[in-house]
Amino acid sequence: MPWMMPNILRNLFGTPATRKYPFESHQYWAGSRGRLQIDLAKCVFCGICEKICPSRAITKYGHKDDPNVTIHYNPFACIYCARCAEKCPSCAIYILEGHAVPADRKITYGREDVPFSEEEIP
Amino acid sequence: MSKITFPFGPQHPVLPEAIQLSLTCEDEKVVEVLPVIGYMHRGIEKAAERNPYVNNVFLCERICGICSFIHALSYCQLMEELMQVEVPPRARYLRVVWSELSRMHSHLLWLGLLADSFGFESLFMQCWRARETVLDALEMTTGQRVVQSSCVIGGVRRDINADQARQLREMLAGVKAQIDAVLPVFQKDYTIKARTVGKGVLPKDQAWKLGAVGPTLRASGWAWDCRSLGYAAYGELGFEPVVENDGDSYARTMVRARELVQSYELVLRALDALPEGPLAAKIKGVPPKGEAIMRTEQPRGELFEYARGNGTPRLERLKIRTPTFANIPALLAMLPGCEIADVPVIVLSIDPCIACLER
Amino acid sequence: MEEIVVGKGDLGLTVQRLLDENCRLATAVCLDQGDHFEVLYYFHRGLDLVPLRVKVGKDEELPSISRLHLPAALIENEMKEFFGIKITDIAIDFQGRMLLAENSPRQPMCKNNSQTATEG
Repeated sequence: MPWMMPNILRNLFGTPATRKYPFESHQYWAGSRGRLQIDLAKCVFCGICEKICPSRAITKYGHKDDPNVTIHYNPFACIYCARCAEKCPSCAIYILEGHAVPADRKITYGREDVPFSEEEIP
Repeated sequence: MSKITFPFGPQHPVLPEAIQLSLTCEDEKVVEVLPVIGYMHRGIEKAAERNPYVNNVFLCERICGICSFIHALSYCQLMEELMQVEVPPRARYLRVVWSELSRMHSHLLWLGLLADSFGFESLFMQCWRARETVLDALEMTTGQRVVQSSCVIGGVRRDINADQARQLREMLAGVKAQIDAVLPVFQKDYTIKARTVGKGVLPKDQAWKLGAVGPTLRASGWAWDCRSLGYAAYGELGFEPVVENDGDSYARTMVRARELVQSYELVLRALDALPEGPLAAKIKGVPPKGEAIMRTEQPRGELFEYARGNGTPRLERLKIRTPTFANIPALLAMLPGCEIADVPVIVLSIDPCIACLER
Repeated sequence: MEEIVVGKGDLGLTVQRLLDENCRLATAVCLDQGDHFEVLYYFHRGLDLVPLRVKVGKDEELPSISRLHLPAALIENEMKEFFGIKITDIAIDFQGRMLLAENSPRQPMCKNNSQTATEG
């Protein structure tokens, strides 16, 4: 097919369209939503994030004035919509560029990013 | 001649999702088709009754991964209609930009799958390479590639600033060059014509009566497109539906190929006319008692949504009629009389989205 | 968008009249209203919509319109499956197994179904 020739030649002699993956990783655009991090030192435990989370990935345990109050975050339920980061009054929730690495167990994170519960993936 | 009935699917190389067609054949000719569905049902309509209405945006977005933005858009517009919210103009134009980018990546995906269905692997890869740039454009402007979460009730969450708009134009120029390289192959190539021309013909009157929507209907000569209703900013951008008259698989391919170019032009026009102003209107209260309907045009056709509020944060009923649901009867009418070897191409020619179909 | 309200006895006649005017079914919506069901049929007339509303008791039978208009069969099966509304004589009857599996809760969209009750 003669009209395909320019495209065929371009493909034969051009640079590859794919990335050489392990040596060259994807560059995320500014503002892309990859991972979520909750800074409990800044958190005022108002509970807004728990209320607005569409997938119920964030749970608050205890009352705001209770010394043992904590927030648990389950990244396996999270859909990375970043509504919590948008609405947080104390800016304690960050959304970071770049996706989380694959995991072999489901971990729910508690205070100081200490795993609160673990669940093996079958 | 004795008849034989055998299953097509639920796992088939040409189907990205699970649906079974029970084909009754006489020799190599298909005489009867029965669909067996229900492999992908997730109960999203029921789940929507449990969630507060604001969270349903993210639920609706997950009905389907290809048209996710338009699912979110129609749910947002539905709620805006129910709650009488005026959307700022900038948000309406940005919604058009993202809708059309979604349509572009959906049509490029489909053109690739069509090429794949008759074994034209290199064309498949060319289409998907162009699609990759569109997905990058979506990631740059919304933050995520597939499930964008950029539409909320009352407006949008992200803005496209001047710098991003310039980059977007550059990326789209690259996509356009790639589209221009692959579309002539779909139009002129002997193999593609041999596999699509005259296959799965849907006559004009039958297309209407069987309830076909979207490119399936427009390929049969109906200038029927929900974007003509002028939702979002389509009314101000000067929109004309793409129509073909033959009603066969080739005509459906041509409708999508021309829509691809049209979407590209619509994105540029929307970027040119992007007005200044706020991104979202403030939402107060809960959906009142009452009903609302919203129809939008997905890459696959008309999406119909119905909601009934009851004055609480939870909806009483949300009904979503997806385009594939409407196109199934048309598919069942196209198949009888064709050869078994043409079944994959004809099934693909309605662009079936099973996750949409079963919600 | 003027709404047509009919009794279930006149449904067939009204649908036939709409079909003769070159309308087609867009979709149907079933609503559980406690003591009765409300079925809303939406017809396309060109780009416009024509709603048609029918009330039917919980243990009354509703005649199918799929014999007049085949594309209605899918949505009627769905309503029958999700709400347990007794639609009789559907052209292609999946016997309640179109979308739901053998072990799914029956009639999941009904408001009084304890297995699928709405939270909060």
